[in-house]
Amino acid sequence: MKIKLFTKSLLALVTLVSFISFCINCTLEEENPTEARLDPGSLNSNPALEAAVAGMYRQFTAANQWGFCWIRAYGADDLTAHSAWNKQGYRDSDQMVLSSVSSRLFLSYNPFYTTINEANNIIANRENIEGTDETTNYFIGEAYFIRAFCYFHLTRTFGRVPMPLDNNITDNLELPKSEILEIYNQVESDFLMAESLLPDKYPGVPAAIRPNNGSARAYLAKLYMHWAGWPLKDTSKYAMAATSAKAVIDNSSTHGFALVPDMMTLWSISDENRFNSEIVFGVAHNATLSGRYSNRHTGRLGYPWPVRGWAEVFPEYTLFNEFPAGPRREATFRTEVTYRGNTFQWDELVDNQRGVNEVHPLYLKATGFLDEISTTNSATNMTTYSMRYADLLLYYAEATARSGDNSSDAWEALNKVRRRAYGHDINTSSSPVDLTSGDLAELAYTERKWELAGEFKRWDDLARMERVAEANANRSPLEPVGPILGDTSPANYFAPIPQGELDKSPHLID
Amino acid sequence: MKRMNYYFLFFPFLFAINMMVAQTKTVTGTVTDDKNSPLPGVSILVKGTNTGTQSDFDGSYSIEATSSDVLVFSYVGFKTKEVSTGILSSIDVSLETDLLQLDAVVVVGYGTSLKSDLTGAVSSVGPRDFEKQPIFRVEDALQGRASGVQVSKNSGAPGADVKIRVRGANSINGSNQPLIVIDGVIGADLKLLNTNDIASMEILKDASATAIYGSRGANGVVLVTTKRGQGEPTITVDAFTSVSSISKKLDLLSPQEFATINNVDVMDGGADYQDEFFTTGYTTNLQLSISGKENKVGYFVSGNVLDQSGTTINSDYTRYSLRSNLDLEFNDNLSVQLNINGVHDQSLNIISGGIRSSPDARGGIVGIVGWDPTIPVKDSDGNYNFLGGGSSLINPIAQRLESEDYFTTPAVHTNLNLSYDITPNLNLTVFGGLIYRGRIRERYNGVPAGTALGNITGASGGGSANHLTTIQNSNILTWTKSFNLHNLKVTGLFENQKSVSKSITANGGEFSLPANFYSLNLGTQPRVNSNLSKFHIQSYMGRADYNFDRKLYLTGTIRTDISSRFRSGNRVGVFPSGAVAYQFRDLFNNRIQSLKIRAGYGEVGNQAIPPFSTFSTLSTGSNYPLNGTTESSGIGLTGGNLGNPDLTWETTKQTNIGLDATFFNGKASLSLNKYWKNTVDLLLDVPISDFLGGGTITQNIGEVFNGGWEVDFNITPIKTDDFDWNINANYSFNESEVKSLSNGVDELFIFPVGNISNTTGAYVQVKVGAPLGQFFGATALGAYQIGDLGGTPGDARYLHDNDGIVLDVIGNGVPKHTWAINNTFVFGKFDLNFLLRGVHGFDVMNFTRGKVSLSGGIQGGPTYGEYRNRWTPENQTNIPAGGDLFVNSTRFVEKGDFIRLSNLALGYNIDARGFINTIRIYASAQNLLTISDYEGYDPEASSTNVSSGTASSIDYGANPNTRNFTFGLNVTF
Repeated sequence: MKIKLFTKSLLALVTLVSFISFCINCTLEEENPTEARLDPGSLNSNPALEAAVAGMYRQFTAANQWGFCWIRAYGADDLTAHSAWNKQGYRDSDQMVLSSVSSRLFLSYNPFYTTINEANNIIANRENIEGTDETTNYFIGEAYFIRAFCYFHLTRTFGRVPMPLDNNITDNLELPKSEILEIYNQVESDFLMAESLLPDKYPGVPAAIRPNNGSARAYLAKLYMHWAGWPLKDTSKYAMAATSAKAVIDNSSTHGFALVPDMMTLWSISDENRFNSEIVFGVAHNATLSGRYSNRHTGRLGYPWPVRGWAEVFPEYTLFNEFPAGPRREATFRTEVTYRGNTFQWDELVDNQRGVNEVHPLYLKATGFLDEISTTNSATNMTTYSMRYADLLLYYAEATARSGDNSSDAWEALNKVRRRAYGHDINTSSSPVDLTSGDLAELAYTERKWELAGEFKRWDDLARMERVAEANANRSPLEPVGPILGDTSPANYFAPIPQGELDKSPHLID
Repeated sequence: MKRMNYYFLFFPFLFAINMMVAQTKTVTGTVTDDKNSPLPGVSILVKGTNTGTQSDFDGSYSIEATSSDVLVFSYVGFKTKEVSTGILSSIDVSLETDLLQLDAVVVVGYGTSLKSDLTGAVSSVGPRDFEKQPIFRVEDALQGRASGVQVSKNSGAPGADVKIRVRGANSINGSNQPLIVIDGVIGADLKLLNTNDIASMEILKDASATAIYGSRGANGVVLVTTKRGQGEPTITVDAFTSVSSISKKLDLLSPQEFATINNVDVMDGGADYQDEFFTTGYTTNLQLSISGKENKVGYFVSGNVLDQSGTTINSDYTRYSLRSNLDLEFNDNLSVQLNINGVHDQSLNIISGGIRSSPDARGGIVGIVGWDPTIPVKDSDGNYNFLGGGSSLINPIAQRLESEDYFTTPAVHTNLNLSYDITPNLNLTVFGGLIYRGRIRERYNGVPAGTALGNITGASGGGSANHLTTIQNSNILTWTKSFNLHNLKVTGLFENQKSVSKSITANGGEFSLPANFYSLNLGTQPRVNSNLSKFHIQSYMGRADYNFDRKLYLTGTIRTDISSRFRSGNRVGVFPSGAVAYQFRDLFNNRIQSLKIRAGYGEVGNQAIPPFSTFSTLSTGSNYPLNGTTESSGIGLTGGNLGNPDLTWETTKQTNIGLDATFFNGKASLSLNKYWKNTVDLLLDVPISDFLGGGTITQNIGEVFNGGWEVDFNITPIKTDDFDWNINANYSFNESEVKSLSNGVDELFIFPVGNISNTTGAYVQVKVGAPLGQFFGATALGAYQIGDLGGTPGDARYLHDNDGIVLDVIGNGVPKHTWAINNTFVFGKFDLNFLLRGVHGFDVMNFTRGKVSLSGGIQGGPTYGEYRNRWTPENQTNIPAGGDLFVNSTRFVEKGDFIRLSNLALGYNIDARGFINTIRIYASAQNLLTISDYEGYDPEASSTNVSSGTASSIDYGANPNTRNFTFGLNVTF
């Protein structure tokens, strides 16, 4: 019995020991990332490139989602927000006291760089793409376009900013700020590259929600307008702006660019309206598919508290009061709101939570139409117009005049916008709406104020002409946010780099 | 490797030869206790060997020994006794009760030790410490029981994760939760363990103890040993039921007050949203175990059914657990243990492991506190009033009531332990462990959380399935030898552990029709993804324990881990440790019975990065509707993880000195430890500048120091036949300091509960020279008064300088001092237990209060009661009526210190008759009393992740701990 047990336990031991030796032989293998992850080298084909372009646009949507993406624009005379709540960032900009800790300033900064990061990655992989065809060029061209767009936004908002142009992150950690001229040169070069790679009209899209070579040229016009003005003031660029704008206008039918007959339809979210010929470049939002693609600077954001709005995008009183009457006025402001079955005039919507009455006029451009977007809908499908054709026409008129020219085409461009504004056929000259004499540059400049009010464009115009102080001099004492507190000189035009970035990148502190 | 096989084959033969030459005889006798009752199950061991037996039901035993052998008699709860056999062949012994359990056997990892022989800082917690508490979570059993072990219940949600820190937090980005080892299986889950199955828990605190776990030991190690069958067959039934509720309500504006301030009407009387959201929770817990040992087969089988409903509406937790622990003594040399534990747990609407109360941080508790009280939950037609104002759009009651978010964890833990005595001095143990754990999430939200109601139905659903398999093989060779007064024990280990985790996620997005999770196809924006994560660790460990006459002790260990997570060249880690101790006995005229002084040093690691982290990747899933209307599937590539190929372990170097003393004739013991820990080469997620796209890159850089001391005191002031009184007290002090961060960066700013509005930006700072857990923000100066420059009277005022608002450290959320006193009285048939805990020296950032104290938080209008007394021209107080709201300001940082009566239990032992051995009925209360100045629900509750090292004590809708009243019955047959 004992012997038998002993034999058994001996066998058991042998088994144990062989088990161990089996385990000793189990080798520890190196990780193989391709087994479970996607290698960066996979970005080597057209389908992969298209996927990366989608990824870039996904980031770009975030750079066009909230009003905070254009926070600097609140320093102009067309935009204001609620006087309290969580609107501190807007308020700081409105009162010219933006600081690095102004709330959500980072939304004017971070999403533009995350987009650039993706664009850089696409551009860096250009040489790795196998099986290239013309769409390869389109994809690469889009990356150049979007990168230029983002740097242009960043330098207009913050002035000198760092400008990484490749995807080698670890080498760029200490990258200093670039000079504004360097940035303008790079933006120009990128838009030119985009123009050379992009088609006349992007295939497969209902409007210029993906850029074509006309969009790139139109942005060159805008770039030259700014280059000619503050801060670089190279007035020779006005002529280039005029030629660029003219080139796009002359080829507008090739690109599918034209004014829509009824300005009202621009703020409708039905597909036939939101994809329209007036988009020279814009972002198509799609809240129906996902909140991530939604527009969150319209709808609820344009309504006041009494109808449960979030009170972020309001016209200033002076602009509202001085705005010329006519169809454009009707298409710019909302004067009546129906909420829970009751209809209110805008000035009946009194918010007195803080013990003082707060009333704001409303932008139709922000609220949209009530039968499409309710007062409590904060995620909409409304298109973000990065540049409308009307914007380009007016640039053309202004640039022509500022470059010392005075062509009838330039007057015609201005008058097209005016005819629509006052309810006339766009292409039929009409008196007395048509202007034929006077200071074309200033007439076009002022026309831009009315035409583009509330679209986050007015600040750009004020800044490049150094007219922030002048424009704000007429600020109404009725503004609930209160008077301007900060310096309105060009020294205070640029927003400071957000604190979150300064914390991470102390080398950017001046 | 084949050679090794042959080498081992020789041992049995050597053993056989050895047996033939030894002069053996049979020694018999009886073992009794100090009251002369026979003691069955006493372990009798020939000293310095693995030869042993156990006493039977009558306390008698029989063992083979030589005349030079010493017999060691040991039994849990009694002092170990050693007797030389000499010429005797019959030895009767009487064992003395061991009040302090000094001679208890403690598990130290890959072996055991006598408690009195320990050289490192090890705390033991056994059932006798927590059996008077009606608990079902292991973490509750650990709370307040051992110094240096801080157990924080950050959430009162049933089934929530519990934070455990052993001597503070070391890691800034890695997990700081200790390593859990259950019956030798590394990486098990405490939450899934039935507390009734626990025989003992050891917490390895200093590096000389944890170094044997090498790369995973840096956060301390909790070793849990489950019960095994012994003695007569015993059936134990333990059943209790608890009633739970929150212990406090916040003072909020009434519907009428809110209506008056905001100039609105109260609709249908409004509602008290706290009453709507919090409810009474019920818990029933039933545990049954059968154990015993017959001949050579021991068994412990148990079952547990736990059913708990939360104190917030529509939340619950259930756990079913079965265990079978089997022991088989195959023959004198070979014994086998097989443990099988099957568990199934499921939670409903427990969000993010309990740290949140809603899928959207602004919902849940923050939502109900800030909700417009003038709007009732439902309108007169019985439909929800979905919308309020401000940013918290969706009615949080509707959201919770219409959500079914199930988390199910089926798990099996098994291990097989084969122990073979090759010679009386040499033992080989081969251990095989298997963890299988599934995790299934099934989520259906009939009403969305957050701010948008959705376009179609608002309903959405999604889920995930995860499958984790971990296999472990440990082979332990132990050689024990005593000669003269020298005692030596050498342990060698070769171990492999492999783990594979696979998961699939599927989200439907917004549903086209209201339905349920099982109609996921109704989702209009389907998203799928899958993931694989796996690792392998291969380890060698050697340990030598030497003592001279049980006076001078020396221990040395070295562990080598090879981890697949790091690239070759960086993947081998060597973790050494050593300790020395000297035991004095009978000092100062025997006023002190024993005094041991100890010192140890060791290095342990933390491989705190997920698999595949050293590689850069592209990430998928950033889809986009390129044509504006439809979204192609399978597109959307963006830059993913930025890999650093040079990564390796972070290493914690710890020095510990300590002393253990017993006095008052063995009625009291004192244990003191002081330690210094430096964690170097931190696996630090260094932030990447936003201009490079943001995110982080992990680097081995930076250093964190933790230092402190701890004391455990145990005394039995009174012990008579009908009155026992035992006091167990402990105190810990820990302080941390960040010594360095990455090059050129001396501060990091983080958002531990997300990037939330109404902050000045980051609200937690990690800074060189400062401790971990620093709150960062503005200094509130009350309200601007009439005549003050710089602001409108009544507006919130913050400290400014010429550059604008001043941002600085405004508090710290990591407690410095923790203490607990556990008292047990036994008087006749009654027993009374109370556990009092204190946590001091920390602040709580009360975002919940902040968000509702001023306009612009959760609602357009504030709801916090204090707003009644806001600044008005007629009532010029310092409570702001308007202006900027910064929730990370001194106004909302509160002292968190608290003292809590964690448990108060009264039991009565009924005279048992017939086949019933014991009956105890008990009533108890948990968290009956909390003394704290904290204005929120619970200073212990926090919304920070339990593994976080950088932040704690941020209350952003944290689920408060509950007050429970429990009635229970415990019967043994």
